[in-house]
Amino acid sequence: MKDNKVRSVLVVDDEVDACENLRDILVDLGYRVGVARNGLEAIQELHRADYDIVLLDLKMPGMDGVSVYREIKRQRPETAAIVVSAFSGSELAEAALEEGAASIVAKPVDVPQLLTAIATSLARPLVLVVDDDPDFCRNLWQILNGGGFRVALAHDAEEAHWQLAAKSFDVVLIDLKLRGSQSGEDVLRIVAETNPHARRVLVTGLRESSVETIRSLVDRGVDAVCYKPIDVENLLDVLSRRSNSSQTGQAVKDA
Amino acid sequence: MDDEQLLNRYRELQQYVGWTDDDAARVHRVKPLIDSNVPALIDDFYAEIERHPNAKKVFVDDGQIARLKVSLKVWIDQLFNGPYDGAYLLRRWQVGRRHVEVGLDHIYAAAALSRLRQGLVLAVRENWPPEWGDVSQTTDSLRTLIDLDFAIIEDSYALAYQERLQRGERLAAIGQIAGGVAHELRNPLNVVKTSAYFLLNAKSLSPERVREHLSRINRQVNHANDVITALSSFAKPPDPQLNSISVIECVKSALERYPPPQGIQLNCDLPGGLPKVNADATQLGIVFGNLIRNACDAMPSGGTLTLTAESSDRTVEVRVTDTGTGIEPENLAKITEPLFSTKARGMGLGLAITHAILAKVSGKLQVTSERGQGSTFSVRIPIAPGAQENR
Repeated sequence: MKDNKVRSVLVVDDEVDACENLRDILVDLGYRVGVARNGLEAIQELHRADYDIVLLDLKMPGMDGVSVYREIKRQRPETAAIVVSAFSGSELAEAALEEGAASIVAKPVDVPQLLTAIATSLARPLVLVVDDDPDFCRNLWQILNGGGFRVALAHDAEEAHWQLAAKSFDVVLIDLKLRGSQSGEDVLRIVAETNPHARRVLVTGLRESSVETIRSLVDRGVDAVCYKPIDVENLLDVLSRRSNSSQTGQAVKDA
Repeated sequence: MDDEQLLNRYRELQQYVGWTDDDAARVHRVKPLIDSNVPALIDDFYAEIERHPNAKKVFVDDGQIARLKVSLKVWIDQLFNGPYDGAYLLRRWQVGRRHVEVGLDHIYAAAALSRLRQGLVLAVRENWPPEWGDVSQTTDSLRTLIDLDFAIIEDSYALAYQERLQRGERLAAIGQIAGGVAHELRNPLNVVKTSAYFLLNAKSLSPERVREHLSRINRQVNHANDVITALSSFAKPPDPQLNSISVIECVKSALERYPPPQGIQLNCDLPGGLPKVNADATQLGIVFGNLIRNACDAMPSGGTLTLTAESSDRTVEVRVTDTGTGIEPENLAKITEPLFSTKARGMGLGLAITHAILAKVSGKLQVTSERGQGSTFSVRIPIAPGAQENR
């Protein structure tokens, strides 16, 4: 079910030849490639299939590239967007960066530059945020996306399960308390089953009452604990650490 | 303006204000009287200018002001001594140009000069020997002389300012063209470049693939060339070949060239037998082609395209109505401007060309539009003389 080997790219451009050329180039390099001629097609295609990266033209009939990206973020926030446009210096391009697009490549496309941009985006660690507060999720998305991560969101244990089954994550950020019948502890169990190599970071607002629970979770493989309100720099620091030891968690907890 | 023109202009002004050699003699005569007042007046002149932050900011340093004070001293000396010749005028002429160059708003120079004029007149009055009789003739002469100087400075300022403005407008126009063309050329170039990359670097390359990419390159080079052709023929449109023609035939042939895509319903009320007009059939075809394409572009999710025609006493009128997105009110005035476009594709020349073609046959283009409801473009063309009878 998990497709970890083949990386996928969705090319969105109203110019057919431009789409087909990028398709040829990327397929030749071993990517799975989809093509959409406008924003609506792109959104439908993302409903149908999963893509790591979207290459997004800005000026298209109907929705412009920025509006398309906003919709993509709602649907598939973990999909990285690279803007490919003849208007690379325009306000629209600025707006795309503002929205969180990974980079901008000017037309006519310098293919090595585009391939580097794709590789850079794919090299970003994939983080799953599991939290039932949509505003908190959006904020974390912005912070982590800006901090060099690709960020998937899940609002309950069920969504988390679905995500964890489909993709392999580098880090999973879990709120202990979730809406619905299952809690963060259940999610931790799913992570252990589906993504045993993912680092697990607990996020909790309960500082005193659940010390015991947290201690036992750290013992069972939670790598770090962050308390709400989140200290952004601390969190980015924790996430960018490569080490997998529970020492990290202890250090963060004591900090 | 050359020396001679300048001198003629000055003579004209002198005549207009009634300046004579007597005035000149009166001004020459008082020069020794006011010499000792001049340094203070010069200081006051620049103090007045420096009082305004917008004026002060054009001076880079105090050294510059010191240099300008020396120039002003020379200016005052010449004012009183003459001769009021070409060299004298050229010096005044350069003052105005210089103010434009450094970006000094003319109003500050005018205010300071008016103060200086008052100061000089006052100095003449104060130092006037009573035995010389009435002072007012001399102060009137001095005032007139300074007014003449100021007129020349003002002229040169206005001319230089206009030149600068036109330069700016030319640059803005080039920028607009570059921006409009950039997108339309970069897209075909993008295909050419990526095809070239693929042909050079692909790991597996079948002969069919090679053919495919070469034909893409060919197609896009043609497209890029069309963009340039469109732009240059807009800049220099061919002269219309005027004939007595049927507007309805033009509309119908345009409709054949640009049939509405699926999802757009076509409603036609194009009666035969309308009077003929005096126009170029090809160019009128372009007009209706543009209007039909625009109408269809405005209805991306379908709608109704309605084409109607009727004639009045003097004109034939064709209306192209869509049920599309409509035009934003703030854009209505701009739609016939060249390079204005709200579409993802196209340079924004269609309606500008339409407007230009119609203007050549005394035709009129009118637009009504309601946001979210659609637009109606109405074309009115005068009936050819005598055409009313030969229906």
